[in-house]
Amino acid sequence: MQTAPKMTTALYSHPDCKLHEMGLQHPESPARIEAIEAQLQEQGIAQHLDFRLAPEASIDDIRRVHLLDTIEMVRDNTPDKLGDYFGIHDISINQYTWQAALRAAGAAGAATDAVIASEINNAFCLVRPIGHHATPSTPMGFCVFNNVAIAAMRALKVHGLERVAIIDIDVHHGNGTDEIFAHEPRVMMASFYQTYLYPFSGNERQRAHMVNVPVPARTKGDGIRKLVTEQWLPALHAHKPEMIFISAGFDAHRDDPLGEMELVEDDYAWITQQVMNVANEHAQGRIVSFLEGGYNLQALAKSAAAHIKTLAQLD
Amino acid sequence: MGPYHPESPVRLQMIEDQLISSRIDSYLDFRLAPEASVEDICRVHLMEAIELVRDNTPEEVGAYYPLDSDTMLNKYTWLAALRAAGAAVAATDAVIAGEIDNAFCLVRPIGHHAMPSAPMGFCVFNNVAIAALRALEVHGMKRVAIVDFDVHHGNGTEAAFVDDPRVLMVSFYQSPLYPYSGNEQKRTHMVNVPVPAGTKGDEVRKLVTEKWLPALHAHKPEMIFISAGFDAHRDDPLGDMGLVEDDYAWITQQIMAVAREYSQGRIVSFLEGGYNLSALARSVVAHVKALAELDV
Repeated sequence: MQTAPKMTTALYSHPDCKLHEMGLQHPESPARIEAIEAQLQEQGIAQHLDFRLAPEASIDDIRRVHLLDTIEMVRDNTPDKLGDYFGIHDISINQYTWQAALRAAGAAGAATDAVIASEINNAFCLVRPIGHHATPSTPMGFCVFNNVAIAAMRALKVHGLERVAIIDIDVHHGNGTDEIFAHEPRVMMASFYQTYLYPFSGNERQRAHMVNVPVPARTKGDGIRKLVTEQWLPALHAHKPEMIFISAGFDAHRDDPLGEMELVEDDYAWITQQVMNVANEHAQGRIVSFLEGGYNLQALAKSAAAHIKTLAQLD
Repeated sequence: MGPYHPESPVRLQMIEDQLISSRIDSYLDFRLAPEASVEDICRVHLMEAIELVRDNTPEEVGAYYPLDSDTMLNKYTWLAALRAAGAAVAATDAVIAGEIDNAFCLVRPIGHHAMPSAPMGFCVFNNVAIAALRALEVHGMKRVAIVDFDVHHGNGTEAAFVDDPRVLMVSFYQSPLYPYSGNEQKRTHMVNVPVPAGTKGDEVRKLVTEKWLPALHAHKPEMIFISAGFDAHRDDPLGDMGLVEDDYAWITQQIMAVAREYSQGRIVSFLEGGYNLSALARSVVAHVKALAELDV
């Protein structure tokens, strides 16, 4: 007999998120979602999750984070037929990118609303296109709209929360999120990122609410656990966020082809548990997490499963 | 932004004085800038960025709210920024309506570093970008150009339009220099040319002729906006280039020739940098004289 879940964890996704693709050889592929879904089934995690279909985001929700000109640029450059792409800054727009991006941003809004309404304890948004590189005026680096920023802004502006936190565990610097909230001390951002790696940004903002820690290639789990303990957690406890958002990229995994760090699945479970402890103490456990990078399908699927299993507190 | 800040109110006074002592003030149509609407500003900036400026206005003169190490809000910054952006809108409307041939906006805070997400580098709202988007979105223009001859890379303008090929941006900028950006965008509508310290007028004229002008002629802008910074002047304390007043007059004439060919002469120019007060004032006069086609 299965042990009953202690938590209700929702998994938001939409079939359109698998229709956005950037060419056969592109690492940020629809197969990423399929690999994670299969792993959740295989490990018996899926049956404990509340699967929810992501709605389309409203333009108003997206406009809190992106210029209308940018939103229209994505919409108006949708190619007419499959196999055509409109390319900008390491992101290609195909026939379904606009729809998928609306669903990804819509998952952000819906998950945030459902967690704040206490319908669910926390949520993982299994969505593409991913988001943390997207700046207010520029989709870039595999990202179209900044889903995690849209969620955080919704929590502040619609639900009136006073303080939230964004945790970014992707191997790449979340430059879009950093830029959007650089002057917004209600949003604390905690991240690590491999230096001398795309997008080659991240050291310029020295602000108390931006705890973005550069680490060298080959950094392992012990190094990351140390910086989480010594730098993230004190800042998070001082900030007392009322809700926590996670940019959950899994490309700091040792098997990842785009990153050169050396985390393993257990590290992702450990980090997730630390974030949950903070959420339980200050934020009534409220967490919404978003898929970002992770390009070795096996490592990605296992790491995402470790993350989701921890969110759902499954043994 | 403090008594020792180079981007000071005295810059405007010096320029006004120089316009008078050069005897060209009587040829200009002086107009009071209205306040911009939030709708006009939010074509370029997130509401969040606009509220950041509005909501952090200090209550007393002498108090400052720092946005970054060199950009401060004082009690009047919000009002001034609304007027600077308002000048952008009003000048654009007046030129398109045919009321005036062209305009120079003698306004502060300056704008070309201001990013969609936040003010930076002495800049609050991106006046030139607000003007360009007004021309596109309100007046329905299809193609405009922005010429930026400030010594610093106009990173905010580039960020605002990097995905908008309706806007051709041409500039030069000293590299390496603040804001240490500008080489990463390889797009045909972003002709932003890095030049080394020590670059003089002859080399700038060469790049204008060889890089800017062909791009401008290919783009056929219906209106041209200028980010007119004068800190590439040889006497400027923040830049290390070697332009002189005549170079600014020459560049302005080249832009006017393009504007006459494609844009019915429509130009709106905005003050950006320039921190040696005397060099700034003389260079602005050269620029405005060329705009007004005065030979006095």
